[in-house]
Amino acid sequence: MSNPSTPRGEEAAHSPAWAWLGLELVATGEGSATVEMTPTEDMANHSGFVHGGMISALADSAMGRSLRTVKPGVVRAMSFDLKLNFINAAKIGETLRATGRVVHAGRRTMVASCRVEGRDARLIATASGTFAVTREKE
Amino acid sequence: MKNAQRAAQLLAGGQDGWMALLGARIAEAEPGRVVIELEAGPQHRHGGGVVQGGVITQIADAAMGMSLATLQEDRIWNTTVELKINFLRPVIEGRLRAVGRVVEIKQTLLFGEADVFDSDGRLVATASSTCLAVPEGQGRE
Repeated sequence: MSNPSTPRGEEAAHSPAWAWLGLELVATGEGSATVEMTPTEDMANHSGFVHGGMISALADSAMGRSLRTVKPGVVRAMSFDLKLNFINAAKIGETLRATGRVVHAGRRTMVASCRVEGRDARLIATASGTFAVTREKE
Repeated sequence: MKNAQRAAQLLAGGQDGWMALLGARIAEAEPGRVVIELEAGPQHRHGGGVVQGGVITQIADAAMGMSLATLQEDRIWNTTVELKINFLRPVIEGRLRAVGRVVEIKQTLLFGEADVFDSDGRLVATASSTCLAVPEGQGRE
């Protein structure tokens, strides 16, 4: 559950996991980041819906990415707590949009929350995470 | 289903049980949103000199559970089956406000969230909970 780390923060290259999951950064704001994922057949659970672990990875990534939009910058971030509520089932092929938001930007720890939405903004999951961070000097 | 009558009853209700013990009260209640206030003082602090986390959790839990209850039908309430909280800054004293809201209500499970603010309006904790719908009377006599 760690996030890519590089001293360049905003310009950080995405990790191999991002590429493997097909995660795409679609928007960033001050304290927020939106990441999309279109689940493939490989991501199905026993019921044929998207496996919760895949949604967790998406939410974790969106929250981790949102941390990198605050000042002073974050040079390293690692999640040490992640919690999700799965509200509605997500279908394979349905593009999922996760928006991570910084709730608290501390010197050593940061807290973020996330909403994962499916087609027509249907709520798929809500998440929160706590991250150990190293921040640039002010 | 908006249960405005229940919201009004909550608001008008007395301060008994745990609320009296902690000194908490329902400050605002409308369908989908309930605010619990607590005047934090020395009686709420642990040995480290700050308000104990369970006290903050208590008002956050109540704000979430009651927010959900204001969108439930008569004779059906809810009980918390899971709760998570982040404590963002310490509190020493002053009026704490736990603002509960509803994320989604399903057939049997209900999802709530709450933010807790200090007297300067700073965010001190955020919480989320999952609750189970239960018929009135089960442990509610």
